[in-house]
Amino acid sequence: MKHIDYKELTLGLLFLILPTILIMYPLLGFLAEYYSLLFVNKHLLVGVFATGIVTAYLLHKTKIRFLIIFGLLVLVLNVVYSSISSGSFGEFDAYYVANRFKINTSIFVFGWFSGFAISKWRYYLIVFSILLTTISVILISDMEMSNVNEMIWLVAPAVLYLFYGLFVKELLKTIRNQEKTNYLMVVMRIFLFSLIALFLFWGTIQLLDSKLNHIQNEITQAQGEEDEDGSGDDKDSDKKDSKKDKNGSSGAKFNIDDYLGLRDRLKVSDELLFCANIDNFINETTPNPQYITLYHLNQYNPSLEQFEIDPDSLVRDLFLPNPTRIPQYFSQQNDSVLVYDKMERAIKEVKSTIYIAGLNPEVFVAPSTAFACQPISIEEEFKEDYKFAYNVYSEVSELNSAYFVYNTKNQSILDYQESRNRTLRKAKNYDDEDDRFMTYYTEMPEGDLYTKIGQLADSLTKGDNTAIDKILSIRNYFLSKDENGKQLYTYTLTPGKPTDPNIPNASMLGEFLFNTNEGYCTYFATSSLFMLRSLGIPSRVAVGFMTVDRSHKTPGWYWFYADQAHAWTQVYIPEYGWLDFDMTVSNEGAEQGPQPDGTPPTPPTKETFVGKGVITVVDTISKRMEVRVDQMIINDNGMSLDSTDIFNMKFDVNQAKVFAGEQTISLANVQLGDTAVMVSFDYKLGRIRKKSNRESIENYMKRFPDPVTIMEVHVPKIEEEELGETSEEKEDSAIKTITDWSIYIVALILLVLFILCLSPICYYWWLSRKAKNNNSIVDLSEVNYKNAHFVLNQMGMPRGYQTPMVYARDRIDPKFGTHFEAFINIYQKLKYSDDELTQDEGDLVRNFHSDFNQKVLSKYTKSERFFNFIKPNKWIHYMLNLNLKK
Amino acid sequence: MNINFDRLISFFPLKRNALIFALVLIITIYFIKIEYFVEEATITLYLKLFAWLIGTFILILVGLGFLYTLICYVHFIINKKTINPKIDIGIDGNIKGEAGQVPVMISLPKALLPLLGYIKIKIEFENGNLSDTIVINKYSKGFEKLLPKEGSTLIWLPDRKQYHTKGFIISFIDYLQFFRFTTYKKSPSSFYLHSSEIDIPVNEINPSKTKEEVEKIKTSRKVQGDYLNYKDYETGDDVRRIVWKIFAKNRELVIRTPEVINPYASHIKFHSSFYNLISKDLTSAYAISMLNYYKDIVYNICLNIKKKDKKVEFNIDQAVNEFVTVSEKDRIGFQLSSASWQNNYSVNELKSSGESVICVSSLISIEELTTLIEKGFSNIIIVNVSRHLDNQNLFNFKNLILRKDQKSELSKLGWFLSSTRNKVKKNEKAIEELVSNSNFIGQII
Repeated sequence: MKHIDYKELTLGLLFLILPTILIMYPLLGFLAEYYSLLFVNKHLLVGVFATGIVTAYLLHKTKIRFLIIFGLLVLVLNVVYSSISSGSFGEFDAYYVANRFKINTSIFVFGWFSGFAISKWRYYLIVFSILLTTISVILISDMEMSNVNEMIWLVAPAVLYLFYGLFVKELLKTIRNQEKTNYLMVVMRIFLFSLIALFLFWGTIQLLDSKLNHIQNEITQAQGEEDEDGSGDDKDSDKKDSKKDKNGSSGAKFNIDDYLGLRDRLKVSDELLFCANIDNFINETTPNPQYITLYHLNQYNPSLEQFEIDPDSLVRDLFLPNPTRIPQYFSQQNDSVLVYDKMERAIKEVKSTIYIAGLNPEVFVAPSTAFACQPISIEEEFKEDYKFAYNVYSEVSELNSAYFVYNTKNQSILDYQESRNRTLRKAKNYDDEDDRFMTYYTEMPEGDLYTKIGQLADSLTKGDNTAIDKILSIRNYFLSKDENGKQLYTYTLTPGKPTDPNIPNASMLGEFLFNTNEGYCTYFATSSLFMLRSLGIPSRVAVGFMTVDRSHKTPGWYWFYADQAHAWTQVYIPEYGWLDFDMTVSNEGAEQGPQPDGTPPTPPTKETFVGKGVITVVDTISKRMEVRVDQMIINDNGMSLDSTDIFNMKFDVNQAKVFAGEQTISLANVQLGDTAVMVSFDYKLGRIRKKSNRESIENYMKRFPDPVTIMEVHVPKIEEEELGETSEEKEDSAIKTITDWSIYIVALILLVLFILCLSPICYYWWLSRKAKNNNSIVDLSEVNYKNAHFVLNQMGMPRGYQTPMVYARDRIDPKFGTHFEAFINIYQKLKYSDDELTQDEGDLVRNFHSDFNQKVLSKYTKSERFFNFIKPNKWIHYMLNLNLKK
Repeated sequence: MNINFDRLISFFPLKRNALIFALVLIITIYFIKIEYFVEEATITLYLKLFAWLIGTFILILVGLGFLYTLICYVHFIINKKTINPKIDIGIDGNIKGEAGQVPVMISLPKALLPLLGYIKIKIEFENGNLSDTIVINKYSKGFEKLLPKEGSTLIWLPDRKQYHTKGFIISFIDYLQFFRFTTYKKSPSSFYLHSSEIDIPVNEINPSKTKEEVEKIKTSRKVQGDYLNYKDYETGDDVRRIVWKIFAKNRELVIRTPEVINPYASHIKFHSSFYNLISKDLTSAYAISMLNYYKDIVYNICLNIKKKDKKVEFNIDQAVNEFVTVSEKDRIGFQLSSASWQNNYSVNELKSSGESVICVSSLISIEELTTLIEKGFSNIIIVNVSRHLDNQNLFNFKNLILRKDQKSELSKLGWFLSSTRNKVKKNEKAIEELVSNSNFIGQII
């Protein structure tokens, strides 16, 4: 048996196998989730994998051959498997046990193989880790999380493992043949490499920051787009089924969350989306709720059994602004919808105020037919609950009402419905209508099913002459009871699959009408639509929110929760336009709100002055602004100024809050040239009224105070590109700081160098001065001694470890012809004995300085002398050895 | 022209790791592309994101290794003249070792070690062969901590022979072992590997001729100093042996030490022949393997003789390439390391000068051996060199489950089928027959 190196084995187990197991953990977690039907435990799987890989690694580190052992293993496992699957358990149990065993053994064998391959095949780890990384990347990508950063750190372990494995494998391979291995060093190297790799990964993320941001934006966008697309196409019937099962929401042919752009589409949404005050009353007191429309679906796709938005629709009576893009207090209006809505009689203008809570504020919701939208501000105390608010002006038929199937016992509403039916019976028939219009809205797909629907409709409406009677008959059919006194049609969120599972494409619609009789709103809307169309009544499906009047405390206020998303039929009645007729039978869940309705937000303080224009001056010190105003609203009177009339107005913004979009910013961040909306609630301004209609705006404006005190300034949201620019600027400034710092550091280094170079010269000069001015012979000798050493050191002849005497006698005097030895003699005598100096000796000491310097320095050229003097290394050497020389 | 591919490959800057890595990566990317990039979907964006991230990370990580390694390489190239690799073979000094897994230590002072990477050295021998890789991985202590000093590795040198190195192939390798920058440094040196000690049964061998060893007393000392060959006079010593001259000089009574005659001291003259008539190709793998075995046996016979306190005068039938002065102790190993099969100097041409032992391999032709035996040499050792090759069992159940030990083991099957084995076996059989039929003195090992 070969000698087994246990330390290497341990290292391999610890640094190669353990990380592999850890890396496999999340992947096996995915697998366990996938097989969750079989109750496969993630931890068990990991345990099985770990056992396999560790055993194989340990075994194959010895001399054991792979093929035979592996073959035996597979054989034994196969035998066990077949014995289990044909075992004497219950049939069902056997299936479960056998399959679980299969998964576990596959994992075990995979682990075994990996363990063997890691220990023996040099390049296996490359393939293995790349595959692993790829799989992790794909799996994580598939999660489609919105936060890119989080995803990156999810992927990080796999990516790091890719190189870690490579490094460790090679490292372990190289130490195999070594005679003596410093294992501590090996461990250190592994840690060091991990650190470096981690740091580099982090650095990469930092480096790619802008790129990542860009992709993050793209992803966010794409998600939005996908959601919108999702409502239009894809989704076969199976998918539809699963979706609505998960959702529990009431949209069969559309996913409510897709429409509304909510954050998480799997979330069961019973949250508040928005609340609305719809100013529509019967007899001034009884609220008459109106459905909130999002889209009209005109086109039908028979193969998918779903309605779609027709981009080339004949009738364009849908006003779709993006409320967030409209400057606050100013309104966007589209009068063309009023032509398309074909309302001629019994019209009234209804103002609604929408407070957006959970809904995406970019989605415009309003009772049809809306034609104007005006964003308004929200009172401070409601700002937490609602993120956006706007007024909507709609043209509404007096005959339109949410009450059709849902009924109340309220007598005034019953009366109203009765009178409405009466009125509608008198309505014109469709003979005068445009042919194209009629064809478009009575279009039916061909097929047995649709003929059958037509026959049903005919049988239901026998004897009815008017459109409204036919509609009522169909409604009554849906509300009718069978022979047992049970409801014929029931509402359910899970209509289930077609009865015959062998026909995957069996019509859901046919199943609903002629078999199961249970479904949710879209089923009712679709089938009633086809019945009506078969009768020649133009109709379409509307998608939006069901309005339920739950509380009488706050008449006119309605709360909308996500499960109120709805689809219903709209029928065109000549002269009265499109009226809502919701055929869906009672859905208790949606009628009862998931939570009690809240307090309606109080309307904000009435703005008295609103001015919009381009900012020309921002004075942050005295808090003044000047704006070239081109639009104004004074006391609800909008004024657009011609280009000639545009004038500068001064505003006092001392008390003002500055909003950029929804966030508050400081005045300093306001950009010149931006469009600003200046809002004032000053009641005094309300009193300034135009004297007459003829009074020119100029004159009128002169009566306003100068400057006008402003409470709110709204500037455009800082756009993404600008954000990008600022980040670039930040980068710039970061670079700037780095360069600044490097300049400082370089300057500091230069200064230190300069001082180092200069100080020897200063020292030399200081020594000379001392030598000249000193009278005490002892001090003088000390100075001379130092000076001599210093000069010689700088000239490249340091004393080193020689004694001064030897140094002077053997090296200095012969070279320079100085009297250094003699001086050393005297110096030592002065230092260590009390003997008086002779005259000659005194003279020697006194003259030594100039004599010595001159003799030594004359051996060098001027430039040599200079460069020798300023060399910092010699100077440092001298300084360090100063004590030694004494 | 014989091109050494190993050598060529080691100058190629990309290692197999990098190539395989790139290959697998490309395949994966291709797969992902055809699988996921067919239609616009959100997942594409994510994959793009990760592609960017991982791609950049790979570039940075690999790039760092590349640059660092390149710097170290360039530094080495610039300072190539001043950096001299030093090689230490075996334990004693620099010149000898035991064949097999030879501990080799190479030091490379002042070279920079790539960041977490390796410096790998291969020794190039004069015949163009390359040794195993030696990794420089030890750091010295103290200030020059960052400079790697040495690496010690066991390299596989199975042949008992003299190795002459031509130079070193020095590669700088990054931490992922993706890149390898190689340079060549000429540095000729020599060492030899001798056999290791094994236990073999050897018959008692005596010198064929007694030699009298007389140690005569040399002339009296010529230089000042100690008294050589003199000792102080003790009671009982022969008075006549007192050296009066010394006494006259410094009043010391000393006597000459007596002359010693050792009638038994003698050399065993040991002659080993590398005469090989069986193998056609004297440098084939089998021949080399048998040569190694033969050398092992001869070396150990001599060691055994030496262990019994007998002196051996060892000779081989060919000139010894003496590149170094070897002490008497290592003489046999060194001479053996120098030897190789030869087929032009028959053992019978040996001028008999009282050889005690003649050692021949079983590759000697039967005629030669007959002549040799007829000559009446006292002690002939015949080494059956095919034995160690036969020793490996062709079908060993153990081998089914366990792998081979050494990469250098010759293929068993190949040996069993080779014509060489046939010939050698036949020869050995004939030798055995001859030995049993003649008055052969000696043994077959």
